[in-house]
Amino acid sequence: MTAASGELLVIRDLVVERPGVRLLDSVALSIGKGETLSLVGESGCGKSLSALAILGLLPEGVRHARGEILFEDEDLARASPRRLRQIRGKSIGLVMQDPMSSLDPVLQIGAQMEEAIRTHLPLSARQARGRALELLDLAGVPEPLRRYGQYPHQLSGGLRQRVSIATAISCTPRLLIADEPTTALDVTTQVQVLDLLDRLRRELSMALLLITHDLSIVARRADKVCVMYAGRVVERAGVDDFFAHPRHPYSKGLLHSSLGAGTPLHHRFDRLPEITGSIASAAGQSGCPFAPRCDQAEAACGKTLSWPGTTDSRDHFSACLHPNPEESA
Amino acid sequence: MNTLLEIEDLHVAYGLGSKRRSVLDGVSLTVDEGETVGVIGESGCGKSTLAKTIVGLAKIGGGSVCYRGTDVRTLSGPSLKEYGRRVQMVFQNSLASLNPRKTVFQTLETPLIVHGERDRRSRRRRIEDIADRVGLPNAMLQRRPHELSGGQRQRVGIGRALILNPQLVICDEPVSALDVSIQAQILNLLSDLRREQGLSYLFISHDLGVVRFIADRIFVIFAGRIIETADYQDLWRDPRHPYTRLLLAASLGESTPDRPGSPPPPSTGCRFRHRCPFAFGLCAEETPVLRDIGGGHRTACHLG
Ligand SMILES: Nc1ncnc2c1ncn2[C@@H]1O[C@H](COP(=O)(O)OP(=O)(O)OP(=O)(O)O)[C@@H](O)[C@H]1O
Ligand SMILES: Nc1ncnc2c1ncn2[C@@H]1O[C@H](COP(=O)(O)OP(=O)(O)OP(=O)(O)O)[C@@H](O)[C@H]1O
Ligand code: SF4
Ligand SMILES: [Mg+2]
Ligand SMILES: [Mg+2]
Repeated sequence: MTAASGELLVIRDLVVERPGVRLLDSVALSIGKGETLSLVGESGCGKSLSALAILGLLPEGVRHARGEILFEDEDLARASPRRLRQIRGKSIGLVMQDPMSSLDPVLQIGAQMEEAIRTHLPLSARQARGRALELLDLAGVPEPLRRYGQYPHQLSGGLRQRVSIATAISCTPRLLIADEPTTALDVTTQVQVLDLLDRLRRELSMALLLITHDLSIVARRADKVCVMYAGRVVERAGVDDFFAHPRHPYSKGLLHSSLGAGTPLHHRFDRLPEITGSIASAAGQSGCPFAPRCDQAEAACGKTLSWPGTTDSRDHFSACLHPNPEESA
Repeated sequence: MNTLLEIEDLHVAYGLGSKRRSVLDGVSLTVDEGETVGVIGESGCGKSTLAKTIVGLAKIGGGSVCYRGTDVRTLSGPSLKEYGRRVQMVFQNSLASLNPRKTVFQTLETPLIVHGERDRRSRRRRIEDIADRVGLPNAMLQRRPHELSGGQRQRVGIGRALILNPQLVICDEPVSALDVSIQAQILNLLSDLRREQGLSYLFISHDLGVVRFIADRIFVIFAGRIIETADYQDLWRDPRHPYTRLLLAASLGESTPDRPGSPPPPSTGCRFRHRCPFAFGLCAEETPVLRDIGGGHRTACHLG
């Protein structure tokens, strides 16, 4: 799995910790050129940290302990801060989960975009402005010219999200990491933004690491899916295979509790299906992290030290001790 | 049923002089005791502005907001404080709404102190109870906002809104940032509180799947105006306004030729007409007003 085999990003055995607590445990995944990999999993499972780790943006007090992050064969985990700054925004674009944290509150939208563009491209201010306005329009921001002179607090949640998408794609990155890029968007706008990303992917062969909790987006937009639970990857598969034959009990629960508009109308006092129990406190303990909540758990599940999981003939990985529950069912 | 919140012909605008822009243009709605009212509409249509106006974070430009029959602009001193206690808000942007220097525990404790809970032990009990109900493990109480994931922060915001036993909670996209299993957990919690304590909600979301699960009545906003309102079942089964239909089709995954936002909505006539497949002459000449089409189902379309 190197760039030679067409992989753009390969993460191996990534471990991220804060003092005394392991937040990411042996995370492994890969994205090919122009491919969309979707990262899903319960709130707090480590999706955003994985994204931040790739770009060397881990928050204070949290450190990269082990593992390789190969982007076009270069190990970003060992790259200098200067090199990482070069890569960020140019080769790898990032849309942060909270758009406010990537926008400067005291700078007008236009000024921020121009700056981002001119850091990486040899454009004049006027050219950068033209490019920025075009990007805003592409990202579905109505009246780009008016928005250009506004400050972040004057934008609605969804507008901010589109501004950060426009900024992240401004230098046509080869990999775009988008952390919940459409959570604040209504469906029609969402479709528009996802179509834009799809188009960039096809035309510029931009790969996409799409973090989302919306499984209908995963089903429609992703090539591959990677499910995380408590800091670990518990399932990894091609998207059709995943929806047809989810292997890990957690993934099955996730699919079961989805409540898209297509699901039958519930009575308002019905309870929605939940995965019972609460999130495992921290990654890094021995055994399967999902065991306390899993209805298929056996004594062995809680004990096996760092269970490696199995990969079936379709290259479908699952970190569950039960070999292939769907085939016996 | 007693009306808890009554919004009459609300107008809100931002900016001054030539930059002045109307954001809400004559919005009226009510929330009864124990009722959940859903508000849906596309990005930028004015949903958060509506929420902020109710809790006093955006200026009322015209019309009124009344709580239990009293215009909120006339509240002061203890009655304003009581309003602040009874009407709570869950913000769309959880990170910006939390104080970065406070731990989760302190964030949840502040409202209790402000509203006179003197006993430390009972404050702690209440905090732990709420944290548990919104799904925040005790170990997280000592963390600060930047040490939490997006969904965990959102749950802190929900916990803070619930801790004072409010009567009305304005929820601005409360579960959009959460994955489905936690969405379900929070929506179930909101339903439970409603059943146990008669809580009312004004529930704002762009996600029809969520709103129709929780709301009794739904209001659809387009470009600052209410264009349709109905019982949740009527709206789902028989959407009348072309925009509502589009919204429904899109949320069912059907592809629509619609391109939101361009060109900007016109200020006279029907604001939806540039995107409406059925628009005809009258739509440019006359602004359609909300008309009752039976059973409280109202829509603002010349063809409605
Ligand atoms: N700066 C930090 N210090 C300590 N712990 C942190 C820090 N940032 C995140 N964490 C913890 O690491 C875990 C993973 O966080 P992360 O933000 O990656 O979750 P996520 O999968 O993106 O969740 P969400 O869907 O809610 O955004 C969480 O339990 C979180 O509390
Ligand atoms: N403080 C402000 N100053 C100027 N304009 C503002 C301000 N706050 C909001 N607006 C504008 O008002 C309009 C409505 O914003 P609002 O936040 O109410 O939308 P929304 O329906 O909540 O959208 P979203 O779904 O994207 O959150 C937007 O065009 C926004 O840019
Ligand atoms: S009033 Fe006219 S333009 Fe507006 S929604 Fe109805 S038919 Fe369409
Ligand atoms: Mg996250
Ligand atoms: Mg909003």
